[in-house]
Amino acid sequence: MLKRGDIIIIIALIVCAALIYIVPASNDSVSHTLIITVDGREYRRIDLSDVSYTETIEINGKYKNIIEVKDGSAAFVYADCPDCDCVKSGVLSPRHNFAACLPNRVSISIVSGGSDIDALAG
Amino acid sequence: MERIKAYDIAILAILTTLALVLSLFDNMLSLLIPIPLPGFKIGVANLVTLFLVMYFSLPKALCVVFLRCFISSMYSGGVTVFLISLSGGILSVLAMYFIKYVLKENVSQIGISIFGAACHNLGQVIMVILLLMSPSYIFYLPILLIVSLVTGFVIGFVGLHTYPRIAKFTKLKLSK
Repeated sequence: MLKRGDIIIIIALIVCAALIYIVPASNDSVSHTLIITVDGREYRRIDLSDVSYTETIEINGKYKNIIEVKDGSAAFVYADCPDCDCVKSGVLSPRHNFAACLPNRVSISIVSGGSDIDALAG
Repeated sequence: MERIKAYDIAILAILTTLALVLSLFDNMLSLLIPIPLPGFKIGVANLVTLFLVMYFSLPKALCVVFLRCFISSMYSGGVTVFLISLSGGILSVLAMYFIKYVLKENVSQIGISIFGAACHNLGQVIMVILLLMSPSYIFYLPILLIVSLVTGFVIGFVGLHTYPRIAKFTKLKLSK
């Protein structure tokens, strides 16, 4: 049923997935910064190295999002858009470092050292 | 330029409708199966896309995919959802024709389907990165690629067993 080309495609996909997964993990640095973007523009930048820092941020766009920053991480805790994928994404971590509310065009991401975004975009 | 016959218009319209119904069905399925992956879908509508790739020419396939994305974003979503689903749809159609043309006899429908599903996710991730201007979303790609391996296989397998019957019924022939 499976032909040679199929096997090549499957192997190539697994290799690609593994590469994208492994490469960014190698540069784990100490300081983490939370970046909140609204409508593609940077809205807030919060230093997460201070673990005791706690703040609740409310964003009112087309919909309402509430982002909670605590224990050196962040999460969408409330959204009134129809699908609430952002809330389901849960609390961010250096590995799972991105969540977004697409209907509201709000995203939160954790960057290490603040430099790897440029490295990726470049 | 090839002339579009009334028969083609009718069958493409039926396929567009079928794709729309399947994408609605897909939305319901993803609500029924609680998988902790935001935006996860099996992509049942890709059954139609794969059928188009196997039996129709590239412009016709692109046309149906464009219409499906356009109409489905009118009843759920909006401009953002339209852009994301369109980029995935167009890229997956192009990729499937490309791999079919390059590997010819060496690839089966299952391989074409898996490659298409992977490129569908790739297209969507690229569009999300462009819309949100945040490259961090690329870390979501590995898991999506692995998922598309499974969903692509399922769609390809179902297609392998249903397309010949549909083709016999509608007197369609495999496109080159």
